[in-house]
Amino acid sequence: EDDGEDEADQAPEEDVEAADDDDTDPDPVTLEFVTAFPEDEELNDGFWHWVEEVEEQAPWVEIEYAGGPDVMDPTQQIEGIGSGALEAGTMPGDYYVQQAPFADMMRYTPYTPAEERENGVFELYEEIHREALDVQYLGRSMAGVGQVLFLTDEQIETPNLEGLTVRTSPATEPVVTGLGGASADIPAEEIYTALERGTVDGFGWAGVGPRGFGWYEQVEYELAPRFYDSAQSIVVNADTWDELDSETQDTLMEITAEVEPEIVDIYEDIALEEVETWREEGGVELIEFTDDEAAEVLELAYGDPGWDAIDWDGIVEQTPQAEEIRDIFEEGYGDDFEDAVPGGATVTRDGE
Amino acid sequence: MEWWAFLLLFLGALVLLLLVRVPIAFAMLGVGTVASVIMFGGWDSGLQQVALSAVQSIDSFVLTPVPLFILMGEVLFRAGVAHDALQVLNRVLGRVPGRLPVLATGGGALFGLLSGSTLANTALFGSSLLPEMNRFGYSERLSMGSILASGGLAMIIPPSALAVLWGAIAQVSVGPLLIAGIVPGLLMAVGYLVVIAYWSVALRGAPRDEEVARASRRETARGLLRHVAPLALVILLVLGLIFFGIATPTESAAVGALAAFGVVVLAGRLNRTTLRAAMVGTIQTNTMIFFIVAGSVLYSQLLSFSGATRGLIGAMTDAELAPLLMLLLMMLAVLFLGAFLDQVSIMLVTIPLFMPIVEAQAWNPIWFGILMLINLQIAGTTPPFGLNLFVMKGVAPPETRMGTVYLSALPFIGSDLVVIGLLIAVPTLVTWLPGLMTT
Amino acid sequence: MNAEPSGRSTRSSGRPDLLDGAVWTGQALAGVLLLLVMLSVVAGIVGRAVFASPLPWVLELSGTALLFMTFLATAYVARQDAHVRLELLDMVLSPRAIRGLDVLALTIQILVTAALFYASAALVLNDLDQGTTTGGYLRLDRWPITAIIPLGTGLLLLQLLRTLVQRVRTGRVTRG
Ligand code: NA
Ligand code: NA
Repeated sequence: EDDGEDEADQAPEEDVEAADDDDTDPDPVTLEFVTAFPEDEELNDGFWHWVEEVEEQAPWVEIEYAGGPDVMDPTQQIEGIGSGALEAGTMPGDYYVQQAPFADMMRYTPYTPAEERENGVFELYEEIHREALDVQYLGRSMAGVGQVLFLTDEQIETPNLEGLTVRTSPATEPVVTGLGGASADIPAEEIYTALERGTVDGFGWAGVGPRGFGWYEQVEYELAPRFYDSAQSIVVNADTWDELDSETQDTLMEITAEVEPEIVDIYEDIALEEVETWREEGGVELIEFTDDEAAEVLELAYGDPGWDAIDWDGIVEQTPQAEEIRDIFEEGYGDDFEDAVPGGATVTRDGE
Repeated sequence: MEWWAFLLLFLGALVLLLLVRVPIAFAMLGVGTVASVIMFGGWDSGLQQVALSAVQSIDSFVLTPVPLFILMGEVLFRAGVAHDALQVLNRVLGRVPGRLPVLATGGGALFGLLSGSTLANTALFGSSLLPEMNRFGYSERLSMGSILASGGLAMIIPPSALAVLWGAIAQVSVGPLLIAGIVPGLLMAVGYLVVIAYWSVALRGAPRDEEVARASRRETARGLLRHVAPLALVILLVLGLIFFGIATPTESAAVGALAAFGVVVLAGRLNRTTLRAAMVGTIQTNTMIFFIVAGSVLYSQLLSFSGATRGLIGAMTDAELAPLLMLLLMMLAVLFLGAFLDQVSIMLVTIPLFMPIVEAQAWNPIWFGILMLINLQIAGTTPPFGLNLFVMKGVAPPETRMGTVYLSALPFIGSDLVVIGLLIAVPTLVTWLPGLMTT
Repeated sequence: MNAEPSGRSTRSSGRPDLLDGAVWTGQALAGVLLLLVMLSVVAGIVGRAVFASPLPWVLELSGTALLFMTFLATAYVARQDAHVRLELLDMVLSPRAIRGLDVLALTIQILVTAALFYASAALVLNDLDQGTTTGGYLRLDRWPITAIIPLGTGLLLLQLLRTLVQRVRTGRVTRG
């Protein structure tokens, strides 16, 4: 309660603003959130920033934390939220591909969340999240981090992974196999040991995480370019959302839109810190290819090979809006996909 | 609801169902279902969560070594290959004082392979060695005690289906956990040998003069080669594949099971009856275990969602207990549960509450896992309701009293406690071997 | 299906009928499945060593096979009365009281099984409707996988009902 008074003292403008709109705040509401990743992971930093902003700007909304993957398997949380077992949550689109195949295409976006709000992608997302998953899509809690490939000790000169086995997720598999490598499906908990023992010659992961999990200690090379976006969505059960009063709905939407660019900044910083740790503590070297070669790699991600890797027919069958989204994406790719990676195809302070 | 109220209600309901003789798997699923409907937003969403979590509990490749290890043991056991090896070893031991109890211990260590469950091991040694011990005039308590103890060795010394289960549920890497069991398992065996030697000689638990069928060295050598070497090879194959990182635990278990079939075929022991008995035995044990496991994910999700997990960790942290005291409390809890539950159920009940503490304390999870497994072995043989004790009672002569069975286990439990103390004091004994795996 | 394994079964009196056959077949299929898992995992190793191409589907499917094994055989294990239970009160209770508890316990098992059957059947319908898939590389339809639970628990339900009827009629006491 003391905090609330302090905030009121420190932020008189907001009080004035609220008073303009309305005499009183709406009735108090509580929303209980789960996260796909454990509470303290950096992958939740964006979400916690959003929570802070909600609590500050919409003091009548209380965000409760129900837990992380311990509460429900991350790939089933979306089902729990859709069914009403859980109220709300935040997770990567990759974690609801099983329930709605369109989630597979979300990583192909060349846009920042703010751009998606302007070019119509956001509304389409909102629509298909409701139709396919029974959830309200609020926006992003993470964006702007590409996928990175690492190799343990093979210093390749050209983008060619023949003879190498790389741990992949569906988000890195098309590129790895496209480059002639063999992909191995190893759960995240086993990656460290697999690298250590040479079961695999490398791995693919988002640009945030290898530091926290310690995997950077086991690799020597990082490949550029990065590709795709590792974004997380904020979603609320559709019924729970509909029962909120309209002012609360609008405020939450506005806050999310306002916070998204800050989230992109947060992850840009984290991604840079990651890279510094890899370089300085792990001695990880960056392998950069020529522009033409880089374009080849990006073609595997964003060109026909990339799109062929996902179940496009299944996606269009369940959510025909996907065609429109794809068109908007392709407008943003540029001639040789140079503008396709939202977080940048390379992330390095040296290059600045 | 307060987290402790939820925890009490949940566990109270579970105990009530168990008391009225509802099988453990049904009790866990039943209480889980009711709690899920209450906690997860009503009938439809709650029940959906029950079904989803059942799939998630079992559909995991990390668990697949379990049925394969059980199969490996069952094949060797039902085909009589293990029994043959036991006979050869018996002859090798000759006039060692306390020969048969030593055999039980050594056999337990060697046939750690027969580890579908500790129960199977107890049953094997109980039915094959116990009558012979009686015939030769061993003290009843020494006989039964040594067999109960040897059953536990099977659980610690790899390959061990229960270690796989513990690792999979606690999300601890299974390969290193299996390898980590070797040194502590051998230490336990040494402890048992000391107990047996003292009991046999000083307490005269063993007969003075045993008639032993003497065999020539050549016969012995041939017996070792024919009956013991193949088993040893299977074990070395499985452990080698894991240790050198050549294959995953699942793959090693599959190779081990196939190799067990190979051994049995070469010994000319594979026929329809054997195959059928081994398959039925494997499936029965496996299903028994996994029907309990089916409720495990739901249980741990409910504990988290209700705040019980975090509440308990918070309470433990606030109490600022010395780490050693906390560890002892956890081990006592396992022993207490051992009075009511089987080892699989104890794992499922304790892991979701213990592992966050292990993480918070930054304990080595493999070291903790081995301590828990030894602890679980003790829990299975402590009065009044260690399941092993009942198996022993089942295979012992009808006039054997339960009290005698209880007393028989105690000296060996004492020895295990010494080993646990040693492992707590010198964790390297556990972590050294798996550490070698990774360099 | 020409012979029964030894065990304290509570099958129908006289010749095995359809339910007995189904229960026995379920566990036999579970056994066959386990042998298949063993062989395909070994084939996976050979594939990796000889052809340098791992078979990632082996790992994914071996987990699913475990789910199938468990639910295919659970009715059989129930018939053998081999599901682990606590027999804490058996020593102090009269056989009559134990018989009463048995009926109560069986009724509870039936209720739990019915709930599981209903829950899993609803999940299967939902999966069919939504087109939910599995994760990993295979992206299989999920309904054929979840369908093993209503199948297995349905059979279990019938077996438990039969056991209950027999228990009430003949008053036999369970011994696991
Ligand atoms: Na063993
Ligand atoms: Na006990």
